[in-house]
Amino acid sequence: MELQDHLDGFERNGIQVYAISYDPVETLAKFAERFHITYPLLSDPDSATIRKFGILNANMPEGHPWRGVPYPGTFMVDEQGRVIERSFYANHAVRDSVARMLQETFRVADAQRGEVQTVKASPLSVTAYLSSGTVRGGQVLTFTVEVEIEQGWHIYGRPLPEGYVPTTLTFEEVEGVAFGEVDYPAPRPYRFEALGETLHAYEGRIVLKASVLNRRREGFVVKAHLRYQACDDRECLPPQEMGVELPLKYLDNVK
Amino acid sequence: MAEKLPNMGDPTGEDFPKGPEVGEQVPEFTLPDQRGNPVSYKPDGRRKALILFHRSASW
Repeated sequence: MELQDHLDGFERNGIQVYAISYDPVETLAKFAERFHITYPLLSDPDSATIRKFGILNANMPEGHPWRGVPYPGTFMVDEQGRVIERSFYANHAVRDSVARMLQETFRVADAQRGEVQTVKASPLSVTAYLSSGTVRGGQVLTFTVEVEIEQGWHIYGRPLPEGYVPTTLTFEEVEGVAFGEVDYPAPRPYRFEALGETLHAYEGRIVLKASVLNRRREGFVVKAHLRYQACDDRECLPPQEMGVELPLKYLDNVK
Repeated sequence: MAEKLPNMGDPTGEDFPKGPEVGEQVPEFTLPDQRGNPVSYKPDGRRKALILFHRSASW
């Protein structure tokens, strides 16, 4: 299972893992043996802890065998027991990728990553990677692109007046894959005295991210495009578009 | 075909789970593991934690 694959990443970084379900111990024992699970699978058959966390799924009717089940949810908790991040999905088949949790929430520097691709076209250098090189059905990964802009140059952010090219990250459509909205950093206002205008711009190093939800049962390639226009304080280069291609291998959920 | 990603941080309606929000304290608990041994969660000031809830082990 995916969590087991990344378990040493959590353990090495002192993050305790607890997986709680509504099943009795015997069911969990069979499951752990079948999938070689070494982290604790905790049994909460009367939903006491599920209730303490306030996440009992009250939609199940009285008498239904799933009456005590929780919403499938994840709590990432700090050393004092306070929630850093929590996530719930409407569809239990979609879960946050543990690699993404390691990378994003726990900020574990040595989290596994997929292939890293760098494209250079002065004055920009772009490095892109996914939070994992493998993906399962229903999994969400993070796509990250780090953009380094040479000193003296800048690219644009939103909002912008007509005629300027804002920095835009787009993905080519892939059947069975959904791309979330791109998380752009906040641009800074940049005063152009010569034009008498203030525009929103990025300088130095910026990071863009987007989520990738996989519902396929086979691998695929994430093809992303970054469109931008680079200017210094005297001139603007023509708008450019850079592309990156990051492959993903599919892992069966039963492995 | 393009598919909109489920809105990940947002409630899915009035039946959205309540429970500890970001910044709030999670409850402590002790539950049996797959071997029947009691496992406790209590913050120790040194280690972070990942607490996941599954619908069922027979997914």
